[in-house]
Amino acid sequence: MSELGRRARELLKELKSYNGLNLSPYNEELVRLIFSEVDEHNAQTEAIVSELRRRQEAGEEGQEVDEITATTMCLHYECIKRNKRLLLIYMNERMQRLRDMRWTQRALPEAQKARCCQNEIQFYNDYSRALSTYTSRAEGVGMDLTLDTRPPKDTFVNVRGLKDAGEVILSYGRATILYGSIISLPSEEAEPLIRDGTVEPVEWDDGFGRNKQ
Amino acid sequence: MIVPGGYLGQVYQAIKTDSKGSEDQSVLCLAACVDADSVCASQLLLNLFNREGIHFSLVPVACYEEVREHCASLSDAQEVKTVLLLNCGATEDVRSLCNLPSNVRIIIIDHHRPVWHGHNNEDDMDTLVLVDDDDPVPKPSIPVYDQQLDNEVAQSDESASESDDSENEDPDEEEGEELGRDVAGRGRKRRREQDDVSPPKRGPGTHAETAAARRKRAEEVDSYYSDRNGYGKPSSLLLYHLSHQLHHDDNFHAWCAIVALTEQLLFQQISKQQYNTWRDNLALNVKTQQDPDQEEAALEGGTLLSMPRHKVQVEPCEDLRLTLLRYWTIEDSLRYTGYVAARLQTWRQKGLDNLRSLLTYMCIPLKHASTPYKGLREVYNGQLRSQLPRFAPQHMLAWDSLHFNSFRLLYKHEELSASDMVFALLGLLTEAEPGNPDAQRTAFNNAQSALHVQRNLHIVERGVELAKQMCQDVVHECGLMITAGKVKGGRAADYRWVNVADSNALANPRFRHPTVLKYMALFLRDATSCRYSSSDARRPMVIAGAPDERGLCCLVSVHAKHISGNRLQNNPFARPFIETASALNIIPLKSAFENATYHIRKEDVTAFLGKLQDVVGDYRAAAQQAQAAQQA
Repeated sequence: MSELGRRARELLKELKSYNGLNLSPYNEELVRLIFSEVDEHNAQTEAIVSELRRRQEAGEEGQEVDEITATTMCLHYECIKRNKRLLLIYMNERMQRLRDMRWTQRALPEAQKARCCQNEIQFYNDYSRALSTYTSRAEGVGMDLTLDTRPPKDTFVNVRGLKDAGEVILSYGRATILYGSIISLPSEEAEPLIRDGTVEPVEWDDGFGRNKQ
Repeated sequence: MIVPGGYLGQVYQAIKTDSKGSEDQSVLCLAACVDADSVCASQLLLNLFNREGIHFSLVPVACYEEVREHCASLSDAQEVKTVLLLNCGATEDVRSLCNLPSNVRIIIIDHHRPVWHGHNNEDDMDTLVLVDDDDPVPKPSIPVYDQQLDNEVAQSDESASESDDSENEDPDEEEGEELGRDVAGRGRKRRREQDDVSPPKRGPGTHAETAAARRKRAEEVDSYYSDRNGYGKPSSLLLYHLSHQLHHDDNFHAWCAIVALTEQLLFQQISKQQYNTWRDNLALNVKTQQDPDQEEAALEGGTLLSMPRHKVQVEPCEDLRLTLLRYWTIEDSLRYTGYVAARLQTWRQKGLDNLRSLLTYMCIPLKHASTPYKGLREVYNGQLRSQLPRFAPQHMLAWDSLHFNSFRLLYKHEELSASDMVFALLGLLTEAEPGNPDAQRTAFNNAQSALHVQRNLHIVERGVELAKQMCQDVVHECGLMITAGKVKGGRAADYRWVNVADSNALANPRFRHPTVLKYMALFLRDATSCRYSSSDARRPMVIAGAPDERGLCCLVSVHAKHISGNRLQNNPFARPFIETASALNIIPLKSAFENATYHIRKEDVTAFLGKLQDVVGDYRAAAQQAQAAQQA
């Protein structure tokens, strides 16, 4: 048997290399191989167990399971567990990314869609529907929660420029965004800029009296 | 127009109405980014703006060139707009510098003095400079702007000193050098050679009168500019009164004002009496802010376990003037405090031994003196305070300079004194990041976040670490400079100077920032005079800093004597600097916001320092002559 769990590790590394909100193409092949590896472990374990049972039934003396067999069984069991864990991590991470995509963007981009397997697309659609119901006026809270990256505390937001983005036209006039300058904007207008990464919200309090614990 | 502090409320209302009524509603704020006062003032102001719903854009700037750059887009503005300058702009004619039309209103809140007397024009409603009544240079002492008279003075001055005029009339001036020439030109206008007035071509009767009026005017302007170089009331105090008027009182605002005031004291920019007057005022205000529940809880709670405070509390206290005592060990703090280090010369082994003997006299075991202060038991704190006044005089330290009335901030388990905060902010502001052109803005932003203690205590701690580094570097490097004899100007010189580029400190990127250089200058001034003898009078000090990436060196100067009372701490180097620069045709490439700091190219530094000696020598000779003439 070659390195145990190597395929699962490769799977995860592949996913990790696509960071951010991208998905790696669903590696059907590798998943299938991992399943087959698990099956193989399982088969080996079964073989050992059936061997022991046979011996037991045959009533042989010296029934203690010797160390080698015990270790082998443990090893197989741990391998199965590890493969299962890694597979679950893989699935979970992809689901999380799909959820984030739904929150930040409205529709699943085609490129990402092509990389999902059928079940994942199904998951996305269900999640999307659930979220829309939740935020809808009829059955839910009535506010579109996906609009803000973080809960707005005030109608105005102080942001700090992260790059020299030049002039922007805002509802109240023009403003020049420079690196290191601080601008106050209405929250709605700050949102797209924050998502772009042009500005970042500033971590300030509103005086000492108003404690935000 | 120069507006007394009482009208600040009205100015603010004017800003509000302007901004609401105009197309472009945001206020552009440009804040100087070299000292802690601007950090505090900008925080105060922005907090007010946030609460009142005024849009703003804040840009930290380091020199007048940047101010011009940022205002460039406004030069063809159609709507009414407000530009607010914090700690910059009072000493220059900003409007013509940036070519701003009159529909842009400029409001200047600046603590640099002297205020350019052109601002003192009652008719000009579009440029407002705020100077409070208890400022060391209040409005009545500023000459009133009289354009005609000033023009005449300028004309006669130009015709008199014709040899220098060729620069002024040079038609091929480049844009970038215009500023330098403006400053130099104005310097020539200010300088007045008494015997150089050439009579204009008019009738003899009116001639004498106008000549006399001009001379008088020239003298007035002259004496104003030569005697009033220094710092006025901190901008944060002005803004604090504004917030008080608007009923937006908050501990945060008080704390900002406190930190700014403490900074001025620590840099010896105001006298101690002045500090005490303002400080007591603030103490009264702070007392009314205190939370009664907190106090009760504090009183009845047990002494073993102190509950973390959830609300920030600011209270007056009496503090020791030892740098960062709470964040250091007793021994280190004593060793690196500017005052103590200068007197005891702690960079040398002998000084260190002296220091240790002081500690022993105070019955503080040396082992405990080198453990971090926060881990010490309360008893040592009490001992320090009680024993220091007894034994300090024996070791050539004056108790008076070692303690002062200050404030402290209590939050959760942390206790932060005002001077600790000042140093933390300075540490953050002067953080040297070579290679990053926008480092100053990042530093400014960090310093601003640090003021919000509730969220950003880790930033404060980082600032404290940086400040500790800075203090250590200063003491060590300056000590080396002194022992290696790099400080020029002997016992009887008019002033002493040092060029950092000559010494090992060249490698330290911290020694490029004007504030660090100022701190160094204060330390060197005291240390060199103590070296000669403990009763030696202090001389003014000039330091030429290390060159930065663009090859610019920063020259700073500090005054000698501490002037007591409510008068301005005058820095005598403003005019000599200008004269030297114009004599050598050196154009400062980056003009700082104050008159005593110059940025010039590193190649020009040695020539500048040499010529400065001559210029100052001339001044002294002239002063002696004047004195002799008076006595005779």
